[in-house]
Amino acid sequence: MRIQRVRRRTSVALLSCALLLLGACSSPPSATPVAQSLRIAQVYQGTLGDESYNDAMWNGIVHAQQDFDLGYDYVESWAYPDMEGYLRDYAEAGEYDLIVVGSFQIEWALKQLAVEFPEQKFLSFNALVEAPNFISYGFRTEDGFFLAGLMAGQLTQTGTVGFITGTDNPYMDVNLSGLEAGVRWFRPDGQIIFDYVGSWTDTLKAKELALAQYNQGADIIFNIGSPLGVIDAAREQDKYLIGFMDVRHLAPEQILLSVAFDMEGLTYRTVQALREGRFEPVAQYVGLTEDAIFMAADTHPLVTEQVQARTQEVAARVASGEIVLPEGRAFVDEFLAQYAPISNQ
Amino acid sequence: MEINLVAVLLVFAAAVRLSVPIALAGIGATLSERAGVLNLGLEGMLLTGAFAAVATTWATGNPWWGVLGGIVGGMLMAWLLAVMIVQLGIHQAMSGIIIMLLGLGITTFLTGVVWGHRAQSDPVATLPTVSIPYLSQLPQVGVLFAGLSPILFMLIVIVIAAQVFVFRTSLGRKLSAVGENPDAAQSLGIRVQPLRFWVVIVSGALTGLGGAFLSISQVSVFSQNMSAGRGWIGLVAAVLGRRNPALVYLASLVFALGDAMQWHTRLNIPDHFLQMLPYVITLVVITTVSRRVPTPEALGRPFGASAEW
Repeated sequence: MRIQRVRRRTSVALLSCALLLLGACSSPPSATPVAQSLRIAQVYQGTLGDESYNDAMWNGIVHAQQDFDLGYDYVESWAYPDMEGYLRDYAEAGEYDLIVVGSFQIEWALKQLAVEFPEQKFLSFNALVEAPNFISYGFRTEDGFFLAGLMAGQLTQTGTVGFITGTDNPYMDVNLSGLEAGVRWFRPDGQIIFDYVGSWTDTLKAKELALAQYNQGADIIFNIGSPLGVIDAAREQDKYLIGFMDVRHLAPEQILLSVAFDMEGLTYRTVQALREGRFEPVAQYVGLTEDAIFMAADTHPLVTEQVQARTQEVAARVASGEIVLPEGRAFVDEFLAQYAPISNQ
Repeated sequence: MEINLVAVLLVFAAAVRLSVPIALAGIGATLSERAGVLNLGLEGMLLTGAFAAVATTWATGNPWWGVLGGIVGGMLMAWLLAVMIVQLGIHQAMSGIIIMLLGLGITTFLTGVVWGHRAQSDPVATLPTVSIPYLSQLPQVGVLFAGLSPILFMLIVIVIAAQVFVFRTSLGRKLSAVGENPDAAQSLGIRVQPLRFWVVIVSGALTGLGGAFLSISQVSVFSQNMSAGRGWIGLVAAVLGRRNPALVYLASLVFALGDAMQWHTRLNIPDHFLQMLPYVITLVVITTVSRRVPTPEALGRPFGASAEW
């Protein structure tokens, strides 16, 4: 009995070792050993492969790597409270020319780091930090929702447009007002319905929510996060989606268009400037006006040039400041009365 | 939207779909708890099953192999749990939590190894759906009989089989004896440890099948942490269903109905409240109903020489 137990313990220990070995074998992409002209570190909230923010920032770096000699280290942070620790490690190492991070949840930590490491340069998305060592961009998300709404309002047959995202957030009312205003701009009798999955990973629930919305008459759903379950629902029901960030390749037949934030471009341009020795601190909200929010809509046959042109026309008026988007769903009627054409059909 | 027959049927159809993984985990928990083994690793087994199902389907191109892969994936995690709990006598709750965390970690890690990114797998083929002839053609109620997952039919068979096994077979009675009083059971010649070991493996197989349902029957990918707490809800369903397989299925259906109703009816209830509801129900169940549920005497207690650990 004794011997047998020892053997069992050994087998468990061996199994654990095997798992560790497996981990060691698949080493992450390592930085090139030679001295680079520019070294960048990045802390991701969540993991790569999210078909969203993280992949966009990643693409920006990959793009920059193609053009310049760039050293790049990154870490994927599962839980956002860990992010500060990773950022601090990178900053203390003192060997990086730029640290990139995108998370609105750690704004307070970034403000602290800005003071503690005045020599360290940062690029931050979704958390604005006014400091001489920070370039930070927030997105006027309602601009993106308005774009999606303008397109959906023209493309919907039923007049009902759905919206599904992972979790609620403090800006959601403003965002939804953008979507509703967009839908009703071209479709005065239109309405929106919306649901939160309550998780960014529950694919099954996302799918069921999408099925429920389609059953309630929505024929287009604007979806942010957890796109995969929603896509399955769209396929099953033969209905449509508007994606967030460019996810069209995931389901070219179902995804009419994508609304995207230009994190890729902003990341690339920041690296490019740094490479040329320029670093101008910014803390700014960007949107249609700055060309930082756009739509990728040139692939689906239903999305005609006329539809795009009519949307761009309105979007240009937002970009120029002529149209000021509503500040909440309570103001949508007022907004439409003020700006929208009386009859559109 | 007004509450009409179609809406009610759609809610019910959604609830039936959602109940499958909860019920499979719940029946797994039922069996192992009856034998005195607390299986807190269900969540990890569900995830591993979901991952293994997608990985196998991806490798073979055939989702039926994926179903088998899911079952085997769940069994592998259960094997680890069984070794820890039964053979090494490690604290049951601790072992279960280790398996739960390992399931999350290892599936995320392996997703990165296989597909190069960690958040989700590539899409794979899914199981075909079944529509029952004639019944699915009926007006309105037809939605209940169309587009069904084959795993739903497996679940029905499993519920019936588990019911018969637990209450009508001598092995099922031995299982309860082991859960109530392992010393007495052993004195009657029942081999306690092998029985506990294998029942944990079976609970892993069932939960792994539930994982396959999530990943290759309902959607076509594995995504990180896609089980989203269903293993834990299954554990509660086992208690609420008094560790009686048929009642456990009903309990799973109740939890699933709560979710489905929330989405299909647009009642004016705050979203966050509804998201909290399953856990509030759980709390109420644990503090009221389950206090009256007879718990196997030896649940959570290690048995035999290994107990010295």
